[in-house]
Amino acid sequence: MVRERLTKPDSPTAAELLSNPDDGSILLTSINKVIGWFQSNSIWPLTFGLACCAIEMMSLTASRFDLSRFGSEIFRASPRQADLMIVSGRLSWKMAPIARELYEQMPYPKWVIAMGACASCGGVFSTYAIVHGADHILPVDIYVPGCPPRPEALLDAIIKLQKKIKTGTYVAQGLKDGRR
Amino acid sequence: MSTAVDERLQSALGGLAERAYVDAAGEPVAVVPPANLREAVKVLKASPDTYCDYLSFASAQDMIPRVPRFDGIYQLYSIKHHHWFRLRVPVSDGEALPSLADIHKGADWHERETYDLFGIPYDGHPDLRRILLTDNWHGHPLRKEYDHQFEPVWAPGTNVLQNVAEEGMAGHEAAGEDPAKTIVLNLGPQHPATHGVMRLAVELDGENIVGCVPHIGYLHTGIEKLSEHHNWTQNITHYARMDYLSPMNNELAYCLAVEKLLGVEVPKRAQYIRVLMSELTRIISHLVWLGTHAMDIGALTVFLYCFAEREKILEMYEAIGGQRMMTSYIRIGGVQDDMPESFPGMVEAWEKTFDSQLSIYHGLLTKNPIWRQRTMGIGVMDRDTSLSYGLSGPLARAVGIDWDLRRDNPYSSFEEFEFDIPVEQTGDVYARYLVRMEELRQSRRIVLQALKKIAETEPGTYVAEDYKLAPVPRDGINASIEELIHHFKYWTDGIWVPSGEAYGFIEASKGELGYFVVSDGTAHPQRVKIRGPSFSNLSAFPEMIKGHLIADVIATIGSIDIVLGEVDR
Repeated sequence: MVRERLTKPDSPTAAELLSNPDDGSILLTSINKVIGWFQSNSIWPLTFGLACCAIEMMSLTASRFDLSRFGSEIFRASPRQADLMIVSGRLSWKMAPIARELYEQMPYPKWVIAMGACASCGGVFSTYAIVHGADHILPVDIYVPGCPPRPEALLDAIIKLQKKIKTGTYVAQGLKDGRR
Repeated sequence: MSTAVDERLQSALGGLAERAYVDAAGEPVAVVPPANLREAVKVLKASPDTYCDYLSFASAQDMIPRVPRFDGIYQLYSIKHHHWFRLRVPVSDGEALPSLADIHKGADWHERETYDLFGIPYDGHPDLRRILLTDNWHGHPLRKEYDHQFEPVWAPGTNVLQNVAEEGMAGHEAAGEDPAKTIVLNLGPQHPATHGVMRLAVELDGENIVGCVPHIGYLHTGIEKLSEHHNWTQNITHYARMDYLSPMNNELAYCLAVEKLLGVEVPKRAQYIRVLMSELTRIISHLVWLGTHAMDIGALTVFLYCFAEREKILEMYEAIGGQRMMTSYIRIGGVQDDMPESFPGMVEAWEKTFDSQLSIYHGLLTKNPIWRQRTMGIGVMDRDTSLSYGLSGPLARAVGIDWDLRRDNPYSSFEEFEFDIPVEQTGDVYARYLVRMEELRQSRRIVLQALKKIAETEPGTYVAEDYKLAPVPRDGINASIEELIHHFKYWTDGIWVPSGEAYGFIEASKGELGYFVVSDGTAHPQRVKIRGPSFSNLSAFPEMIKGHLIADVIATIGSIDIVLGEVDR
């Protein structure tokens, strides 16, 4: 049955069936939510430190703030193993293509947090060298205000992101786009 | 003293200089035509009276509409006599300046930076390429006509990543005997051990390093350009974010430079608070260095200890300046607010345990055989090469250069404090480690002395009492119309600084941090040149790792203690 559907050009693909939680498929919607719940508690961020905010990001992993309470302390140096990019600091035009490349190297599903004023909008640095907001080149999920934000603020952003992931829509979106 | 130095400069340079004068701080400046520049620098270096063996920075200033348009600026220092000289070299647009890269090796990167930001070419430079911006960048940002908010546009189809890949070993001829045997390994800009966004292209023969080309500029922010568009007080905000591991050091160096131009006397209490905070800053900066350096080599525990200790000082930052990192606490003419009454108690509670913390770090590392094997004999520099590259701070002291600006050119009443300056002789990674560890101990000593001295001063005298420099107190605004006018002028125009030039320098946690500021008599600087210690220290990196193994690259980067925000600015 499924094979037949997949081979027929005008019929919806398996990905499309999975992607639309509103198509009446109660089972798949629930599975998405379960997967989302798993994912939300094991977000592995990319070790991607740019500027001042990176130091606060490091503080967050250290003993006082202890990010590991929320399952996100495993910072991966390789984008292939990461699913969260924290743009921690000002992003220069020279760095921008590399940041984009790193994002594209991350496997799906993936999320982006713009940490601090510079990553959100350029901050105090309205100059020729700085990208005025990481959202010029990356799809940002959460913006964290502050210059730099306190570690608690970044923690709050990660908890908010977890709530977002738990809805399960990300799994579906990824399959819809044909990405793994 | 300054007139004596001035005479020495005159007699050494003789007819090489067009004219000489002293700047706002009384430091001698000579105007030298481009044809005489190399000769002048050589004479200043060789003459026993001047003995300027250290090039602090080479930069330029856009003097438009004057003809010739630019001034090349060279800041020289004598490690032996502890005095500064500045050379100004007028040069017109398109004309080249002679390169100093063979006299002072450190000039190499400084000249590349000037070429990048001003478009001044250098004759005889070994490798004149852009350093901070990409090769295909249009224009030179520090020229006055360049719009500081200009967004770069690349031609459609430009593959920026392709350029990055091709850049690779640019400026480096394959040193290996058989080019087919060597490979080029790219390290960064996304790498956990480069301490930011630095990129290294390393040529390897097996595991041995044959050559290395650092690429920087991935965090170039244009702070120097932005400084020309913001007023004197607003600028403090940017500088804290430059070397973000030691924010108050940056604020202090800049404020010292502007105060030299203004000729303002900073109250003693403010000076002591500055000393206190700059030493606490040195401690948090060194703690981050120690934690990350040890983590890079494999000792993760040290990182956790150091960051826990750092939190205690960040709490003090919050108590005194209202923010964990970027406080903008040190202001022109003093500090932003008086020290809170609870502050000495916080410092005392912290310092009681700090010594035992230090012995924990020593216990974990100093005699640890793995640590010693990874650091001893690695990244060795000799004294002459270090000086030639303009290395300063702990890196210079690790090769036996007994030089510390806090003692040799004291600022902010440092002459009243007692402290020792650790000097090591071997010049390897381990020596740098020992120097910084001892500095932590000495900084604690200074902090305790500063607390005592602050207690002897009168509370409330934290800023110069001049309403042209410092904001009017809140109750003063309601009291008289004159103070209301001052309040209004201060918060709209900011400070007006008399025209002139000055160089403010401090011994920051990473070395000699200097701000060369030029005012044309308005509310905005005409030019701010930031001499970041990490920039010069990093330029010697290829020299340090020559002949080592690839794993030693990581240990050496950690020992330089670079902050890319300061390298790229």
